[in-house]
Formats: sequence, structure tokens, C-alpha cells
Amino acid sequence: MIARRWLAVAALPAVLAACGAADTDDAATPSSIAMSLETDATELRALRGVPRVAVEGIVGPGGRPFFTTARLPHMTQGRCGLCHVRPLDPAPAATGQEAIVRTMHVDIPSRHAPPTTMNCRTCHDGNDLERLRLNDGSTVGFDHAYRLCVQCHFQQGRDWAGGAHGKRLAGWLGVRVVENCTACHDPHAPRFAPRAPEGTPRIPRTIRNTHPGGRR
Amino acid sequence: MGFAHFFRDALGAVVSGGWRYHAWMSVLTLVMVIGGYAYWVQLQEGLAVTGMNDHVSWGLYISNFTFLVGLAAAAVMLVMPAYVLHDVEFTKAVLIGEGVAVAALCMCLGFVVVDLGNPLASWHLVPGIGHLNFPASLLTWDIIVLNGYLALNLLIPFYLLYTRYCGKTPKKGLYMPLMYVSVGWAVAIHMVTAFLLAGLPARPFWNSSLMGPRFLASAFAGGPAFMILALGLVDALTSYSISKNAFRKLAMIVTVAAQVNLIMLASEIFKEFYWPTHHSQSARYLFFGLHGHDALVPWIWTAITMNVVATLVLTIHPLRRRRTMLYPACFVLFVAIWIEKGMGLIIPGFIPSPLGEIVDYAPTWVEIAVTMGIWAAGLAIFTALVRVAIPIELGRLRRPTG
Amino acid sequence: MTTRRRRLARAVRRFWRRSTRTTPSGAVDKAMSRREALRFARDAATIAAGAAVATSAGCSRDEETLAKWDEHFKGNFRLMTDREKRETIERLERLARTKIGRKVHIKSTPAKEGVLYGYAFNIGKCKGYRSCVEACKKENNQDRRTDMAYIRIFEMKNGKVDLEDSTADFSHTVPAEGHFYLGTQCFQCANPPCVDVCPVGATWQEPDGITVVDYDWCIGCRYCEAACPYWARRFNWNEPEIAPAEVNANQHYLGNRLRKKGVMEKCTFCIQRSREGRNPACVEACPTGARVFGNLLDPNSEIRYVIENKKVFRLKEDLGTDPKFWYYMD
Repeated sequence: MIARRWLAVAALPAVLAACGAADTDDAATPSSIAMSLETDATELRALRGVPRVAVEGIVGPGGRPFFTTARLPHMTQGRCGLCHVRPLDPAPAATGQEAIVRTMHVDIPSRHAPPTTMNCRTCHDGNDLERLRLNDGSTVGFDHAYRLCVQCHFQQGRDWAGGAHGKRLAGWLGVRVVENCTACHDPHAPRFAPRAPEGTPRIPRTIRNTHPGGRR
Repeated sequence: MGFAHFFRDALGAVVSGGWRYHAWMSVLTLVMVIGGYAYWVQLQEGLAVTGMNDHVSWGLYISNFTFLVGLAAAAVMLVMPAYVLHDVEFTKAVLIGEGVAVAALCMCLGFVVVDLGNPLASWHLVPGIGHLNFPASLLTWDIIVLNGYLALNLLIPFYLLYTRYCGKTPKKGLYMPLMYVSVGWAVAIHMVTAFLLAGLPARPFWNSSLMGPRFLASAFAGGPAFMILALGLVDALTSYSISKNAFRKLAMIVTVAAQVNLIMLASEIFKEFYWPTHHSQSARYLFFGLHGHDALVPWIWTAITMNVVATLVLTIHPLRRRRTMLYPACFVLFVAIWIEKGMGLIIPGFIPSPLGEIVDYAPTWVEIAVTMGIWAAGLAIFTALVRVAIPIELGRLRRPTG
Repeated sequence: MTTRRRRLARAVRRFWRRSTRTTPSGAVDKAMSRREALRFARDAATIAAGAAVATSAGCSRDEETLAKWDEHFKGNFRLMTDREKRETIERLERLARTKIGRKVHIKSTPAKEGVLYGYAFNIGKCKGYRSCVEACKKENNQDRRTDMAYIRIFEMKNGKVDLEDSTADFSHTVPAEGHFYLGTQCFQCANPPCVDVCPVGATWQEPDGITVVDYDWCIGCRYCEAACPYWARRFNWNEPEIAPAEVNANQHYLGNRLRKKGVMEKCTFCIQRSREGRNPACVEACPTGARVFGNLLDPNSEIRYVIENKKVFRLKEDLGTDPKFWYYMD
């Protein structure tokens, strides 16, 4: 038992050392371990039925492709084209946009950036409101919203691809499906909303101290 | 054959006595019964009925345990002069000392058992059918040394008393090696118990190299102080007389140990408060309170005051020589060390918690009753042992037909 | 009466047969026969005692008593043979069914080859919602009466990392201005002090790095609780209470199976989930993605990405415990 523990202790620095080596010597990294776990092939039961799309243009650690959750099934106001039959005004005045949003889209907050920085057309394609517009003029569907976000939030994009930002679904093993940016962040108000925390720890936790919010 | 006689006579000696003896034993029995009831409640409801919790996860029980290990170890202070240094003044006191050790060890084991959450599983500790995580766990060391010391302290007096009971002279070649072993062993039980706490990096208050030595110093002050009181009682209440010199020498031991203990206390206080760090928070809690929590402050200052006063009285020769001063001083010192080493050492180790949370601790009636019950049991064991030892030593109790 | 005597005779025969069979070698066989002896004692005692209860309580009660005896005298999980493991799990499932009136499934899934679990916590992302705390309680069948929780979320003041100057029982709207949030739980140290101190070896580190407790082997001395520098261990001060309907039936012997009073427990990175490739409940519940879990031995895992690409720190590095729990920020 002790021997095993020491083995684990000894293994950790080795792991960390290997981390450093991984950058330069990618081909030599022992992916055999990962293979033995069938990382790519396994699909956890909890993932079944989760609508997903293969991430385009971005790869995960080790150059591996991965999936992100589809956006369209979750959209409450998807079919913009039903109203927006004509293209948007190419360059709306900042105040004009404000007025439009206040009257037509009162339910859509606008807290992403000041109107001098962003307006509707920064992200939405003016010609086809079912699509999002990238900086180079090309368009992507809502399922690939991440491609739009990472243009500015490149640091978060890198961490999202690597795994330090965002959230992987179901498990650590097998097919990698991570939440799309828009699953956690409202694109029109990306900051997390303040709210009350769940439960309150009792300090100390005893059968006598059963009042929530115990003394400190 | 001889053993049967011996135990029958010993039992006879234990159950017979004057009204004062019976009253004393009845009171102890009553306290034990109350303690037993409290323990039954604890078994039914779980340790939730104690004042302990995940923050302060050891309390009155383990405090008493650590203190009593010191009391047990103190027997060495009688054994060493008597047998190793051949000081004849001490020989008569030794048996009493070993009686104290046996009683203290029984109490130690009692306190450990009542502290267990799952006492029915304690057979897991038995090597062979269980699994003793030796040598990694200091607790297993403690179990071994405590039981070993108990065996030694049962075996040696039993041999001495039994041979005398049979009218023979004990063979030095048989018991002297055990005596030597027990001297080293006494130091070991205390150091191991100190290491049990000092070996925890999670608890900076305990994780100190002074822990072991300070344990010894306080044990050699508090233990012999108790011995003086016990010997004083034996001297006064029975015809088993203890020489004045034995008292004088014992008082000297107490004095020196108490002085060393105070020096170490000063050293600790300096270290914690000259440049307080995060690791000093427990000491701050103990001595001054922390963020409005100050449950231990009155206790520790009472203890320190008592400690200093008693040490002063003992240090001044004319005062120490007077029995009317010696006994109260020893009593005060004993209580001071009980507070300081019990509540003052174990509890603050848990406050603040390793994550900085502060939760005060106060024992519940169950803990107090169980603790008093175990103390009563210890005193009863001690009384019974003395009750048997004295008549044998005085030659009144002998094997019937030579 | 006759059936009881027949059963006693059968127990004697079984004991005799086993104790006299030639043992090839080794301590396991010795331990086995010792355990056989205990089992024999149990059989004899139960059958003898059965006289008092059998008439009124009937057969199932008898079986329950037998199962409880067997449970009491079973060995340490690590030293059990596969058969003994199967037997105890079968017994525990049966006892759980009697207790809560529902079927539970207790697994003993061993560690996967080539896996060492690691965890990262983004202090920049945690907002103090405590969804993880609640999810953990539900997943791991903790005592509801006292609200046992493995996870603590500390509200820390900006400007310093000082746990003592933080609060964990906040109930105001979060995130609070001028504060950040830092969660603690068992860090599954590579060098765990809690394992060393256990006098009976009731807690140990599994090959995949998870420190587990054999709840039935623990004697409840709480030395491990004193030894943990991260306050990660919890004790069952009272008999754990949980509504039968709320019991998570997907259990692991070393994980979230039902506990009893007087024993230790702790976070196991949800061993019942992680060993199936799933994320711990806290990771799954986190609404901000502040929790990252994965295999340290897989160079392409998220946890490795965090360690290699972010600036990380760990709590109390100076103690040499080598926790497998890293904090980082964006």
C-alpha cells in the first residue's frame, strides 16, 4: 500500500515533466495510454441524444477534433427571417439601433458592448438573419456561434478548445462534447447574472445547529 | 493453586474495610454508573451528543487521555530513583507509583475507547484478525506502547507482591531487567503520544519539536505531584508509612520539572507572539481569543496563574518543606497541568480549522459524565490496588499455610 | 428447531472442511481461515440466539441478523477475495433494500489502467452559486439531518488569499462586489497524511489516485480528520438520515453507498461516476464551467491543458502533500 502511494507520488512530477515536453515533441507523446482508454471511440450514455455539431476551424489538445452542443434546438426566437424579409440598414446610427431594439426587441438585452463598439450587424448577417457574420464577411449558422465569439475573445477561445474555459459534458472519457459559448453566456448579455446561492452551510455542522446560516 | 489463593485474598482485601472505605467506593461506583449511563446514551445516539464536531473533532476525552499518559509516565520518577539509582527511600513508594500508573493507563484506554465512533469494530486493531497499520500510524505505536507499559506495570508489582505474599524474596534477576525496561518505556509512552500530535503538519499548534519535551516536563511535574498527594493519603490513612525523605525528594522532582515546564511555556509564548504568523492563530485563540471567540481564555489564564503560583511556592525551600504548603501546591499544580495539557493543548489545535473557520468547543453533559465515570473507575482501580498492596507489604496478608 | 440444528451442523461441517483443507501457501489463506473461524462463531451464535427471535420475527428477520453478523466480521475491502467482495455487496444491497425499501446497485469497479485523476478549479469563474455543493450532497447520499457537505465555497476578499478572512456561510446575492470565490474539497493528495495516520488501514489511495475509506473497516478514531490539512474529511456524528426516495441508487462500495454513524467519509471525486468515465457531480453541476476534471496521464486531457497553459497554484504547497487539485484563473 505504502509502495503504491509512493509510486503515485513519484508519478506526479513525471506527469508534470511530460507536460513540458508535450509542446515540442508532440508525435512522441505516449498517446497509447489514451488509446487504451478508447478516448475517441467511447461515448458515454449521458451523451446520447445531445444535439451536437463537429467544431470547425478549431482543434482540441493534441490536434484532436471535438464537438460542441448545437445552438438551434435551444433557440426560442430562431426564425428571424419570418419578419426580417429585407436586409438590415448597412450602417445604422447608434441611436437608431437603440430605438429599434427598444421597440421591436424589448426582450433582448443589449449588454455585450457599448453601441459604439457593437451593433446588431456586428454579429448578425444583415442579409440573412438566420446566419451570423464573421469579420471576413463570410457567414456561419447559429450552431457555430463559437466561431464568431473567438474572433474577439481569442484567449477564451484558446482555453475553450484546450479545456480551461467552458464545460465538457457528461464525462472526462470518450467523445469530447463541450458546451457552445452561447449555452452558458447570453450573447446579448454575456455576464453571469447575480443570484442567491444554493443552501447555506451550517458552521459547525451539528444536530443542535440546525438553523440555516449558522454562526461564524 | 497459589494464584487462586492470592486472588481470593486480594478480593477479600478489596471488599472489606471501614465505613469510610465503603463510602468512598460507593461514591465512586455511583459516579461510574452515571458515566456508564451517559456512555450508553452516546452509543445509542452517536458522538453527536458530545460537544465535538467536524471542526473540533477531539475534545474532553482525548484531552484527558493525553494528560493521563503523562500521569502514567510519572511512575518512572519513583522507579528510577528506587531501583536504578538504588535510593532506598523510594522503594516503599514505588508500588504506589505503579498503582497510579496502572490506574492512569486503564483510564487512558478507557478514554480512547469512549472516543471511538465505532467501538464494535475495535477488533480491527488486533493483528492477525485485523490490520494494525504499523509503523506508519503513530496511533498504532501508541496502542503498542500503552498496552506494553500497562503489562509491565501489572507484571512487576504482581511479581513483587505475589512473592512476598508467598513469603519469599523477589529475585532481582527476574524483575530488575523489567524495571529498567519500564523506565525507558515510560519516556516512550509520553514521547509517542506527543509525536502522535506533533506529527500532524495540518495542525501548526501541535507540529512543534518542543511538543515531546514539554509533554515530559509537564508529566514529571503533574505526575509526581499526584504521587505526593496519593502517598500523603496513604501515609495518613494507613499504617504504611512513607519516609519524609521520599516526600522531600519527590517534591524536589516536582519543583524542577515545574520550573522546566514554565521555561518551555515562556519559550512557546515568545515564539508565538514576538512575530505572530498564521501558525500562531491557535495560540492567539487560546490566550486572547480570536474574532470574538474566547472560550478557552479564562481556562488557560487560570491554569497559568495556578502553575506560576504553585511553582513559586515549590521553589521556595521553607514553603515546600511544610506539608501544609506542599499538598495545596501539588494539588494546584496538578489541576493547572490538567487544564493546560488537556483542554489547553488539544482543543486549540483544532481552532481555527485548517481552512480558517473558528468554532468554539464546550463539552456536553454526556462527555462530562463519561469523563467523570472513567476518572471514578481509575480512582477505584487505584484504591483497590493499594488496598491489596499495603497489607502484603506490611506482612499482614500472607499465604495461609506457608 | 430441527432446521436450526441442521443449519448449525452445516456450519460446523463447512468450518471443518475449510479449516482442514490443504492451504497452498501465504497469508491470504491464513487470514481466510481466521475469517472462517469468525464466521463459524457468528453462525453458531446466531443460530443459538435465533431461538429467542425466530418464532416472532420469522425467516427474513433471521436472514437480516445473519447478514448483519457477516457484515460485522467481514474483512478489509482491500484484502477481500473477489468472492468475498461479491458476497458483501450482495449482503449490503439486501440490507439497503430492507432499510429503504428500494433497490440499490453497489459497484466495485476497480481503477482504470493508465488513469490518475486530477482536478482544476477556476477562481476567476466561480461565482459562489454553490450548485456544486447541493449536487454533491444529492449524489453522495450524505446525511441530510446535519447537511453534511464535502465542498466548501469560500468568499474571499480581493487582494489576498486568506481563508481565515473569508466566509463560507454567505447567503447574500452572489457574486458579491470586491470578492472572489474559492472552493475546497478533498484534493486527493498524492502524499496524503490522512492515509498514514489511520491505525487500521481503513483509508488508502487507489491506483487512480483517489483516497477512499472502507466505511465498514473504520473504527471512528478521527485521527485522519485531525491529520488532513485541508479539512476534507467528515465524520458521521449521528446516524445519517436520508429520505428513501432521495437515495442515489447508483453506488460504489468505496463511494456513495449508505454510511452508518461513527465512521469517516470523504469526497472520492464521485468514484461511482468517475470510474465510468463520467465527471463528478460537482463538475456536472457547475453553471460557470469553473471545474475541470480529467486524467493526468492523458497528455490531451483538459486537466493537462490547464496545468500546462494556465498559471496554477495549489493550497499549502509547503506541507508536501502534493494535492492533485489546482487553482487557476483566466
